[in-house]
Formats: sequence, structure tokens, C-alpha cells
Amino acid sequence: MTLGIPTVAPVASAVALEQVSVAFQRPVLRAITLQVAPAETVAIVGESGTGKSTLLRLILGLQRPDHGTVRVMGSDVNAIDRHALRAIRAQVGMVFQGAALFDSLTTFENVAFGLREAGVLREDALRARVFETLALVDLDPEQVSHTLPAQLSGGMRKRVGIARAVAPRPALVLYDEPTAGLDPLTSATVTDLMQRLQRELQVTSVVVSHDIRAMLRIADRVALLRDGAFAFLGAPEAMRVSDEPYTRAFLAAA
Amino acid sequence: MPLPLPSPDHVRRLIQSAVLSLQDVLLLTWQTLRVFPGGRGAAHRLLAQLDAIGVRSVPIVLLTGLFTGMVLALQASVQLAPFGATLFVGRFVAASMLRELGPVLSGIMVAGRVGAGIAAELGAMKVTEQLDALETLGAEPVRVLVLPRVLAAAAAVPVLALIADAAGLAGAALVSSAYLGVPVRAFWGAAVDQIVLDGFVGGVVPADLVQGLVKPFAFGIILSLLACYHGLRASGGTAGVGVATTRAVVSASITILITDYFLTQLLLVLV
Repeated sequence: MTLGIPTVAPVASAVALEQVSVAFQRPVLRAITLQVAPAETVAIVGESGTGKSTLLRLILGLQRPDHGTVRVMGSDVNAIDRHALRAIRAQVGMVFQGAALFDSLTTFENVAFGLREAGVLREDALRARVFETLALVDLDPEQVSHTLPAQLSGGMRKRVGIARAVAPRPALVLYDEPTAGLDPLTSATVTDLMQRLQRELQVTSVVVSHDIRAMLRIADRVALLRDGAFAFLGAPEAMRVSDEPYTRAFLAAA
Repeated sequence: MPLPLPSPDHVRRLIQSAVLSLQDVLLLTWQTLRVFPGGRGAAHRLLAQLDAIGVRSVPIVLLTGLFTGMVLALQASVQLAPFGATLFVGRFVAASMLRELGPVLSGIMVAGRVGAGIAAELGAMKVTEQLDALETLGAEPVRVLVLPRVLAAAAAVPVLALIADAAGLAGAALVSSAYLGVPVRAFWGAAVDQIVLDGFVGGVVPADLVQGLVKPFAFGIILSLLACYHGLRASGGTAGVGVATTRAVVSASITILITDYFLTQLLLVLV
């Protein structure tokens, strides 16, 4: 079901970064190339400040690369007008590091926001979709619908953030440090939830995280960023047995 | 010890920064015009902002107008009493309130109360990634945040200026009758005489009122745009939000005063 959100023909790569470079005061990403296949889960790991979150902002078109192209669902996000970009973004869900819930809106309104902007569901269908999605992330809709974000715990906020991202049933979900700041138990719950959502909704996922152990468990491929370039890019099994020195050091430190 | 003069390089950087800021504000103005009338939910957002910017500013504007009018009456009496012209207090207060003090004080009070609030709210949304979240959910921040605030301020500040005018005249009438021995009826008679004396636009609308409405309309747009601009540019966590809030209030207040001078010159020619 597409909810009337603009759809595009199937493409070989859900996300394709070609020779992408970004610099702020110093180079952050250097000639990065990455292709993410539909329904694939790719984890981007690495030390702080290596450009992991910048990579997600590039995919969303919130940041322009200095060089290279960023294609999402086949479209170059930096070469299309704002209406086309909006149509692309309608197919992308983003889970922010701090959840980024709208403070003045209730949990229900937060989760319903993207659906309302798309404007394709009647109020009763929209309500059903929000309740269904809240249940999907293990929250009791009756209990949390009328609460404000400030009244929720860190783990619950994160889950509402995930619910808001997946409520419009996007083809691609981007996660920015989904387990950052959570205790180990809640962190494991959120990781399980991501895995379950990928299985049940069959979405393409790009996950930026410092939690390498969790990523090895849920990702189809793992990319390790070092100094703006990939030190490793491959399957979790290959990463575990990699003899690349930095990869081994990174895994050993985790 | 004399203060050191700023270096030419420092002055150049300041001018460069001011020109870039002006360019950014003009760009935000264009982006705001481009998303008019605001699409789905625009009426709901506008009503919410009319309440936040307009209705909730009534008490502060009422008090400001009331006491300004009272002070004006006292000061006018000091100047007019030696000439036995205390009866003209009404004319003095009417001209001052309607043309200048009502619009300017309303603008500055709203810039302080609402401008700070807008900059803080948008700044907090910026540093907590809520603006990015809006964009990813298909809602342009300029459409859902800036446009309703600018429209609401443009509509509300003129009404607030009228409320300040009325409160100022009422306060002045009270002081005149209580302390200066000017009957209320005589005060209002003098105030109306002044409005008539200043003429009518198109033979119908008092010129004083035109000045008193055009200015706050412009002030409403200025204060809301500058507050949104500084809020959207906030960076550096909560400290950055504080900086944005201060800049919003200071820049809006100064811009209102500068704009007031040029608008007055223009309106004196046109009206």
C-alpha cells in the first residue's frame, strides 16, 4: 500500500552515493561510493566525527555534497526541484538521534504528522494507521496517544520517533544513532524492534550507529568509516574475520 | 585611556556580515511570499499564531498604552499650563499616541514578548533537529512555521496599536480630569479636534489613523521575520538559542525605530 504517496519504478539501488566528498573546516567525507539495494540493511559505523550523520543528511538532501552525486530511488537529490525532492522524501523515514519529536504536539499528532502532510488518509483511516504503528513499536496507543514528548522516557521517545518515521510506510528508513543514550536493556529492545520492522515492513535501512555489536547482528552489510573513507565495507561475517588492522582494532575496542 | 579605534579589517568584516544578513533576511522574505497562502492546515496554524501573538499580547500592550497616555498627559500639562492651555492636552496626547507612540510602543513590546518567544521556539527546534524532522516529513519550515507567524504579526500588531491608542487616550483622560481639571468631555473634544485637524485620506479615513495602522503593519512583518530569521539560524545548543533570542529582540527593536523614521517621512508626504 502506498498511501497515495508518489511512487517510482523499481530501481537497482535504493540509495547510491557516487564519489561523494564533503568538507566543512576539514574534509569529512572523501570520495565515498556506496550502493544500498532495496530491502537491504546497511550499517555505517565509526568513531565520532567521521561523517556518519553527514552521510544521512546527504541522503535526505539536507546537505549538498561538494563533489559527487547522491541518488535516492534513482533520483539525484541535488538535481531535482523542491517538489520532486518532497516526493522523494515522502518515501524516506528518518529516525533522529534525539528523536526530534515536536514538543508542542502529542504522541498521536507526532506520529500522524507525516500522514497529514501527505494528505491521503481520511481521519478514521489515519487514526487506525497511527494506532497500528504505535502498537508495532510496542507502545500502548491508548496510553501514550495524548502524552506530550516531555512526559515520555528516553526509550519511549525513541520508539515514538521510529513510529513517526515508519507510519507513512516509507520504502527507506534512515536511523541516526538509534540506541545512543539508552540503557543496555532499552538499547537491545530498540535494536530488536528495528530488526522486526525490517522483517515485517521489508524496508531498506541505513543505520548510523556506534553500537558495532548490535549492527553486526542486524545488518546485511557493515561500512566502517575512518577519516572520511570506508576502512571496511562488507558482510558482518567478513568483518568479524577481517585482517584489516583498523577494522580489527575497532572490533576489539567494542 | 582612549578606546582603540576598530581596525579597517574589523569594519570591513562587520559591513560584510551586515550585508550577508540583509541578503538572508530578504531571501527568507521571498521564501515566505513564495509559500503563501500556506497549503493544508494554514488556517489552523494562523489562528493559533493570532492567539499567541495577538490575543496574548493584549494585556502588556494595554498596560503600556495606559501608562504612556497618563505620563503624556502629565508632561503635556507641564508644558501647556504656563500658557493656560491645559485644555489642549487631549490634542497633544491624540497626535502623539495615534501617530507615534501607539504603533512604536506596540511594535517594541510585541518584539520583546513575541519576538523573543518565536526566536527561542524556532531556535530550540533547530538545535534539537525538529526543523530537519519537519523537512523529512514533507513540511517546509518556512510554510508551517514562518508564514503563519508573519501573517499573524502583520494582522495583530495594527490591532494592538489601536488598543494601545485607546488605552493611552483613556489613561490621559483619567489623569486630565483627576489632576489637571480638564473635564473628560473637553479632553475627548480636543482629541477629536486634533484628528479632524490632521485631515482625512480620501475624505473618509483619518490621516492619523492611516499612519497609526500602516506603521504597525510594517513593524509586525519586521519583528516576526527577524525573530524567525534568528531562530532558524540558531546553532550551538541552548547557548545558541539564547544568543538568537537576544539578537531577535535587539535587531527587531532597532529596525522598528529606524523604519519608523523613514515611514514617517514617507507618510508625511503621502498622507
